[in-house]
Amino acid sequence: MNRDRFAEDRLEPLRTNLRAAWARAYVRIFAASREPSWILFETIMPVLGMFAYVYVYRALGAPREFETFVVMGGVMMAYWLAVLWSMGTQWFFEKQEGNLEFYLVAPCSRMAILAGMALGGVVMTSMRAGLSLVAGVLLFRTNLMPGEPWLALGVFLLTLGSLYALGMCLASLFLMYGREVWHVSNALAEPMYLVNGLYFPLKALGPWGFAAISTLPLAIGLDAMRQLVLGPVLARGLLPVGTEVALLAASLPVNLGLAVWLLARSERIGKRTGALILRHQ
Amino acid sequence: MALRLEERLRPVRAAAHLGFQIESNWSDPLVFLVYALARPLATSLILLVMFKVVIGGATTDPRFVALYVGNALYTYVLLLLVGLSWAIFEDREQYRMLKYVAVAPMGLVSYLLGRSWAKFVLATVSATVVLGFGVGALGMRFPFTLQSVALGLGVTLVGAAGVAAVGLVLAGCALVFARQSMTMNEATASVLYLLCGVVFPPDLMPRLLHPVALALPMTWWLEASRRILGVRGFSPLLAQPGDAALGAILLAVTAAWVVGGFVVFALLERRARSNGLLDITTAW
Repeated sequence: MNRDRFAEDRLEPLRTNLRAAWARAYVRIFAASREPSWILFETIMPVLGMFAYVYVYRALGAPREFETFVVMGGVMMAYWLAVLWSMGTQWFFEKQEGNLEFYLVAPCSRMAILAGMALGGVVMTSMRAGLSLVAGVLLFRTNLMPGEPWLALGVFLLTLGSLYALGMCLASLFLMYGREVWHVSNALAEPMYLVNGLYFPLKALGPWGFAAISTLPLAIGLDAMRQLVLGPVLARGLLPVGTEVALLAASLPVNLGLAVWLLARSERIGKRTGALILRHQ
Repeated sequence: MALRLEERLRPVRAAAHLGFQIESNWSDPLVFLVYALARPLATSLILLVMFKVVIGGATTDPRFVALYVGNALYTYVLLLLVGLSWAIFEDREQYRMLKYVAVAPMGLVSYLLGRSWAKFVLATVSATVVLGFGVGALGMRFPFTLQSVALGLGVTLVGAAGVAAVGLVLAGCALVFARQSMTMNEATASVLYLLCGVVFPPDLMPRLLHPVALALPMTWWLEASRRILGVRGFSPLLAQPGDAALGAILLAVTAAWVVGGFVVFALLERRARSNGLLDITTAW
């Protein structure tokens, strides 16, 4: 009896954290269906912007594989923007909305909330990413069928894991910021498209490509997935796929550990300076 | 008469001052400038890498100069057009001041135009820096005569008026939309990037979309700016009218949008007032 109760007590925090994560994810997963106009503004219209880069390649007379670069970059761009705005700046939004204090006093880990945000974010963003994919295949007739689909799926999921772990780091880091968050997030959009080689092979960046691949999961994952879809020659891959998968696998725990440390540190600094739940700063 | 003009401009000036404060008072000017320039410079570099990887030629190639110029000037759309609509959303939802502005005698349009002045200045700095980067770092050469400078300034003012007119329509939509207006701004900027012949000739798009592209003032403004900067033949579709005809088309399309922008904004403002939407908060 006592042993059962002991086990029950040990499991209770896990259950609480899982419930908290699901509660946070639930809002994101079902919000889109309750406000259908979001689908227009968050999925269809931004995808059209991606088309511009396909037309740039067409205007320059580029080989067809470059259009595949753009479509795959557009798919991954959706996830990067979600990481930036729906993970990185989310604590800032929660602070403005007055929800942050509830998270801070709730009997669950802040990481559980972040994990829920990430899970819900992946589901929500996949709608937009899926549309980019479908539009790319149907309108531009790009071939996105990988030679090894299961490996490609594995690389994709690993990239998402590492990317959202990076998003957790940003969320923790941005907790300390006020209005500057907007500008930081804006500044991290297009410059990141550049350093991650979203619309062109990473090799074109020269030594900077290696700098990107050593730190950014998006650059590594995209380069690996392009090689799996187009082959290493057409994809102009920077490193062998195996090396890139190993780098991704290593970056996941590193980013998660960094997120935990940053979150604790940001919370401590925020409490000390009294800015943790201060709005409109 | 002079006094009346002074009186009319006073609220616009106050709104412009407020716009500058909101835009920049969270940081020192240097940090602010880094943030403001990161986006347009990065987009230019993306295009540079795309061009280099495919063509591999010199950056003075007219094909590259044409898309570089279009991209540099597109900052006006990103900042000015989106800024107008964003001001509505920000003042209503975040600062919750829109209702006070709406009941003040200045009116929402004067306030918005004043607020957008800060964005116009920022866009001008940004476009100048990006074009300067093209000249200084990429070796581009633009004609720099008294006539070209005067024409460039004139066309930029007309272009900015056109962008602001489209922005007024968007701002009107923001008045009656809930928090979707936040994503509507960026989404509209993406669509216009595609439609206005910013980085590729509109001829490449399906024919069905040609009339839409030609009905937008930004399309003609960008073509006029390219010609003033010595880039011709970017798009066969836009190359058809001569210089004088192009100027006339730009003025006519812009004038139509300015009138339409004011009318649509007035209608949507009336609707927002009658439905009690001026102080609705759906985001914060």
